[in-house]
Amino acid sequence: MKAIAYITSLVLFALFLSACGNDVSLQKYIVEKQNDNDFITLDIPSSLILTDNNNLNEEHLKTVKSIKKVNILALQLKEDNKARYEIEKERIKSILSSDKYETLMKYGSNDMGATLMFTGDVEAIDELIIFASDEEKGFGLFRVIGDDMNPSQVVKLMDNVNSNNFDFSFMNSLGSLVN
Amino acid sequence: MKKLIAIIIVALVSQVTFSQSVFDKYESQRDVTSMIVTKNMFKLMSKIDLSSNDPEAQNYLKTVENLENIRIFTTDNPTTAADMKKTVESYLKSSALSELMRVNDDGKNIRFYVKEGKNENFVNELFMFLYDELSNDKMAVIMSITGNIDLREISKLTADLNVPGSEQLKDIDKKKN
Repeated sequence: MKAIAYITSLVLFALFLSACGNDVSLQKYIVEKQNDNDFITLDIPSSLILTDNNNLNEEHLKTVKSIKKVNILALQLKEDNKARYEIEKERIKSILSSDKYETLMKYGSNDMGATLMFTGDVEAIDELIIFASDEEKGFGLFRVIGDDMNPSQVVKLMDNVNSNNFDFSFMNSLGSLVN
Repeated sequence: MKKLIAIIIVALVSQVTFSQSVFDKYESQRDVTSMIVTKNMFKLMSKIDLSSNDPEAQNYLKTVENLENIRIFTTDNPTTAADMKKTVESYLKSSALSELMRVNDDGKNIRFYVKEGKNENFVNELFMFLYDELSNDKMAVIMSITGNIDLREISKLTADLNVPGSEQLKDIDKKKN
């Protein structure tokens, strides 16, 4: 009996470790690429894009606060980085194959692929991830990190997304990065 | 004691393989266009309060809420299409699906299968296979919808997803009665 308890606790411990390990790795991967000139990375805390004179009500502000930040990571495919593109794509894929991430939708065709994933509960999402790749253009990872984000509240907030309430100037910097 | 460990291992392994389907291999195949929507997506969609009073939209959400998975695989590569046909044949043999209807549309052979559900209007799986053997653009489409499916409502969803044969599915209800 003792042996079973020992094995069980060992298995549980291993599961716990692997869960933690994966938790760090997507974050770690993104941080690692922030200093890599081949990658385009963007880290936008939601508090930063909320304008001071916004006219959002309390409910909407609560929703904005549940969204902590948005991460964007992209690798443009160029003539000389095809091999690297494949390696990095596989690395992200293997990180995302963890059980932690639950798939919402997946699409794949000849040279395009996109996956929509999340962690948490459908009514209290902690992380929303979109990973898309195109064999001609490159890949992009879009990640929204939050704390119990409620999809129906976020949809309600969408009606109030305008330049009056949010500062989208970071989009310009993104545009200039790509060109 | 060994038995117990074996049971635990089997339980763990079977849990992993349970969610796998025989068609998963087509997901990563290059000449296959695949689309997978999971239970979580349906749950999420039904949780989004569209504050709609439109009874049709409400009905639609109710249909969607009870779905488990939608998998659609399309190919126009003749070799892959033939492989899909084989996989489908073995899948039909191993599962409790019964033929619902057959449509021959312009050389396209479309078959619908269902797995019986709680009553005659509900099925646990709706399976469609399209195989176009005769025409030049040999193609195959596999669609599998699992969950608690209301046959009277599902044609709206398949029409939205642009699934071939959804036209014919519309008449399913009339045919049954």
